[in-house]
Amino acid sequence: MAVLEILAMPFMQRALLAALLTGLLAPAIGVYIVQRRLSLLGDGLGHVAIAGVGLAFITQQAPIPVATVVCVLGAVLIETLRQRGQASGDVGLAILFYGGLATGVLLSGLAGAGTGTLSQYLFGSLTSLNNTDLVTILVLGIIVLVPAIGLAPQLFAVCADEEFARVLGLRVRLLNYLIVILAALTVAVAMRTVGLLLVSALMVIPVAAAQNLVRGFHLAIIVSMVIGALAATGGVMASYGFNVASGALIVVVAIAVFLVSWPVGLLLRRRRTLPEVVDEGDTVHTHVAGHAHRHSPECGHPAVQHGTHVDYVHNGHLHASHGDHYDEH
Amino acid sequence: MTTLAGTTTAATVAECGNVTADTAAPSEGGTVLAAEDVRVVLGGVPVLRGVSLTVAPGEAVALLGGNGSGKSTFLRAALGLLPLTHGRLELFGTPVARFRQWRRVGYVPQRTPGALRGATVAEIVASGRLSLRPAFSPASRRDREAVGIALRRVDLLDRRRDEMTNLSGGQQQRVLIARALAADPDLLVLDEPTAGVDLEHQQVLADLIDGLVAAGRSMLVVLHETGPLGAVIDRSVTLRNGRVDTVTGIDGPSTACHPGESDPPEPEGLLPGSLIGDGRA
Repeated sequence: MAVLEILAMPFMQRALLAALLTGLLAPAIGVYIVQRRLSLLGDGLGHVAIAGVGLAFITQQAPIPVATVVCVLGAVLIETLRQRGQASGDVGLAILFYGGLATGVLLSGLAGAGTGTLSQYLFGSLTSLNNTDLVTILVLGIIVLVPAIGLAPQLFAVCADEEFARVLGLRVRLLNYLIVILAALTVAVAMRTVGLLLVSALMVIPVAAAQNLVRGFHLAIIVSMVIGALAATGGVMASYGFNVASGALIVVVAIAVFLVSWPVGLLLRRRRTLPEVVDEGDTVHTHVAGHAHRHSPECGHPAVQHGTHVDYVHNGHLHASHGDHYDEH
Repeated sequence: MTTLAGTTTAATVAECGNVTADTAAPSEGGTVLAAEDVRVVLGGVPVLRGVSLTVAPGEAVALLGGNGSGKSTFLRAALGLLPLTHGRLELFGTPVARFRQWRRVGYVPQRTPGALRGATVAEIVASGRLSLRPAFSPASRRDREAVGIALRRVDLLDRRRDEMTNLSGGQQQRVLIARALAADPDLLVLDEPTAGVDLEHQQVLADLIDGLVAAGRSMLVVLHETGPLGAVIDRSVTLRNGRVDTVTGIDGPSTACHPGESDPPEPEGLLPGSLIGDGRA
């Protein structure tokens, strides 16, 4: 009953919608950042965005758009430094990040906004979202999700093996910029839900939990988005009950999921490895039921030399001629 | 990107023609890779000091040399991964900086332990097809079939759903080779492919490469020691201190192994369609 009451309130509806979007978004881009071993990039961009919030206070603009612009510029600067090989000494990054935090606090102080106002953005404050904020968040969310999902194979290739991606003819530099810009936009979306200081947690922790649970990059994207959405909405519901900042609870829920995923993942792995040991005999003999088609070098199915005979690839299976029927190989 | 439709059809033809792995050599003339007086400076240190080298269609060339001789640097320069400070480098007759037909090149980099975490073997091999796949499009049935074929060739089809990190070093190396084969390239560029691979599977790789070269593919391979692969090498070029030291081989650097096939040179626009085996299509 209490849950329905909470859901009936318009400000909670806005809060849950924003949280759901953040929960889906942050892991969808976080998976690339984790793959590139830049897990703290989101944290750094969060710090840069704080300067944007301070700038918005002092110029009396809406904080989310200003922070978005500042954060994207910071992301482009970071990536440019990295591509030129000048970010190797991470001192430059540290100066940028803490410079962002200090600038933000300084500007908001000068603007007369107290630390209370700023902390809405540092730790999230979902309940004070208005409809304009929500529309901004929705638009940014769609802008991030479309390339993050649609270009998943390309982005994966770039994150996993940059030089190989270049030899594939992919536009690696562009895709690298795309990743940091998407991360910056995600930070902007997340600043009212989990907050700028905790956004990185929602980018990294659901991904780590998903990698414990499932095999493969594409499956990990989906599972981490589900975990992120559950943690974000669960955290918001709980934060209403306990009357605390939503960001902290969202991150605590995500960490709880990660802690559970660890032993569960170990169990799953153990179960998955068992059948493969039995498989050693290599005498599996499976007939293909009702295979009317006759494979031949002209039939168009790709053929593969397999030891002493030729297999034909048919709907992702390998078919080998055996007397009057075909075997699965 | 602009010739996607054309390259996709060409790939189909190439895959079907490649079935028995011993169809005719490519009909195009010219060299697959041509380097002339290539010099590369890295961090102020001259690593390559004028290397000239050609790889003809259907030729397997090995680059040998000690540590720091410049063989890996040459490979990376040939793929456009490093800028030249001097000289000329062409892939299929196009200067490497302007080269765009990357589906014709399969690259097997040196294995870096720990890279490619969190991905399955099939996903990694599938990424080798990205030179053929347009953006925002899911993998086609043909893409999936090509992954199966490439994995079967390196004898790892049964591990396709495993995570890369759960494989041994030698198996990982074979996955990287399958990834390079997934787009059915005309030129294979391999950087120490046998490092960490046991003798039995070095033989598997040697047989595989032998079949590819017999089918008209070209190969440039950096090797530390030749091993079983030595049997399939047409020519070995030894580098020392960034210069060509010795060249040994049965055929020499000419295209003599394909008499009568060296001309006429095909215009560049026809290249994607003139792959191996289109005679039967």
